[in-house]
Amino acid sequence: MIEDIFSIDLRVSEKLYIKRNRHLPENRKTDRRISIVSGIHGDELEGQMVCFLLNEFLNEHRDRIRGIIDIYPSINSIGIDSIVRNVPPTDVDLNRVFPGSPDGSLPERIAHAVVEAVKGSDIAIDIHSSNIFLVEIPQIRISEENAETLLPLAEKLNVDFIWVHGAVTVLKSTFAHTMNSLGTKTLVVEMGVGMRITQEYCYQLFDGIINLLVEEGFLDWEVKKPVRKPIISTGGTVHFLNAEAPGIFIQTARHGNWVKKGQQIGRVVSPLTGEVVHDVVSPANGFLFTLREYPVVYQGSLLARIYEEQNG
Amino acid sequence: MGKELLFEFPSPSRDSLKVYGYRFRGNGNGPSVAVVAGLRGDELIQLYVASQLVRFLEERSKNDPYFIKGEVLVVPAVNTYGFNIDRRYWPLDNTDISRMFPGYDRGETTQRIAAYLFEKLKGFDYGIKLTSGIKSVAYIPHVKVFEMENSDIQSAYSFGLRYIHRIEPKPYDTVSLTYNWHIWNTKAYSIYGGKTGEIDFEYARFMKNGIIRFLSKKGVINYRIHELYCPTEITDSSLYNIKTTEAGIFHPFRSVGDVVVKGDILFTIEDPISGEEKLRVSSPVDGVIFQAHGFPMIYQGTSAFRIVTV
Repeated sequence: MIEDIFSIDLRVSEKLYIKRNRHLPENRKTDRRISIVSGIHGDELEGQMVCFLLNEFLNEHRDRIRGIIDIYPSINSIGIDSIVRNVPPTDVDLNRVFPGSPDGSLPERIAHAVVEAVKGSDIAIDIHSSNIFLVEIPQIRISEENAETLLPLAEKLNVDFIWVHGAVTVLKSTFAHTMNSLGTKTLVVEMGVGMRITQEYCYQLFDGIINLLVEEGFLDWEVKKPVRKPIISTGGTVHFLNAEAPGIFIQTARHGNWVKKGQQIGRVVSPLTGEVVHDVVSPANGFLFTLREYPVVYQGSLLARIYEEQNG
Repeated sequence: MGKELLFEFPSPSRDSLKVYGYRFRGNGNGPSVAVVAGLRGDELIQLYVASQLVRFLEERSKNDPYFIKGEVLVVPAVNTYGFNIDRRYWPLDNTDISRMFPGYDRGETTQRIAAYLFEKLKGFDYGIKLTSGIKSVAYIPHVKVFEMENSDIQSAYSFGLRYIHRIEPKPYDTVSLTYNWHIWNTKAYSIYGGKTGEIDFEYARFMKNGIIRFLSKKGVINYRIHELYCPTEITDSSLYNIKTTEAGIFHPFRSVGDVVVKGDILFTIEDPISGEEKLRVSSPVDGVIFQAHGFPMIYQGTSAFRIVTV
């Protein structure tokens, strides 16, 4: 069932719509609800394929649905259709204005409408795709304050890595923080790279969401193979590698692999002089879970993130 | 004294980013003030006010060795890359330098730029940020002050601008320059006025004179300037929000700064295809127009005006 959760008139002969697809169990009454949200950033497209796979699956297996499953593929709907990350034409990052306000600017009103629609769900999954700069392996990010409640759910999602990180005040303006504070257990998935679809990651997360739906009682289905056991960051350290000089970043290590201390990850080079201005090497033995994809870098541009496990 | 390169930041292919400041230092014991503008590449009136302030201070101090009693640092432009190619934010990754404070010198590019800048801005007694608000919204010249533990609201009266807007910081404000100045014990003020991408020269003069008045009253410069307004303190609850229920051509009949009485026609919305008038809105209150939508078309539900009611 396709529903509008927000619509306003734009300037000329067009409405801005935000839609969801609601799958209800047949012949059953239930209040249990899960919301799968994507497209808060208009340049992150992996969630589009995952939402397609889920809707396709649920359309074919209506009789197996046991709870309310809401799928919101395109929150920043105009951004997605225009290859714009932030909310056009305001250039405001939607994930920095939650919980929003019914009387505020357009992004604040969109945020408010999304919160009102998702509020009351037991679980929410917010699917992101990094951005155009970095490629990420399928991972879930959880703030420390929510780790205890969210970790057991996150482990069901078939991802490779779960990053439990310290809270940053500004991240209190995100969808996930808002929903968690309203009592909806909300997981943030990051995977792939902006403006592209990495199909294997989409299938991997699709399997994970099906597994979670089954384990949480939203779906009556037999999951044939067990989900991956993710690496959890609480047992080690995340190293950030930033560019020391401006130039063009050329990757030499392969993303999603274990690297050795001292191993080259890539080189920042000067196309004009032919010099290598920064030889990027790993500071530790660890797992290369983030790698720079967009080649142009300034000082400070993030090149890689490596997870080092402490004492095995 | 005079023009100094605060820091330089290299680029892969274009000229390096150069952030300049103008420093004026006297022999007296007057307080120190930092004035920052141009954190975003579309803040043109802010850039203009800061550069005119530099001109004023330069001319006066040249002829009068006792003119400066404290210290003033003026930074007119930070995101020069944005100014040069019509971009509000940092051109490569579209991040907002204005929301990267206090910065981090080992972090991402704009965090580093914020850190290098903040290093030069720490330790001042007062900090003044010239800033725009929402893109394409026009604001009456006013001062905004965060209501925090060590806020000095009283000093905001020294600008003599019409309104002092007191506001509780929101989570995203914690990464602003003014918030971090507060944390580092600099009394901080944001000055708003006009709208992005434009210079309203009359507003610019108000804002420049407001800063000069502040410098004069605080004993930073030896100068007498006429009073302008006896400011009114307001909060969000003093602002009456008038939203449009229709989308289309936005046809305003009143502008920022106008005094309106209940019943005055504020704006109409005309259909952009048929031309018919879809909506006519009159003011539900008496007051002064504090901010106005500044683009000739409008979405449904957008705030068209905010009116100060006192």
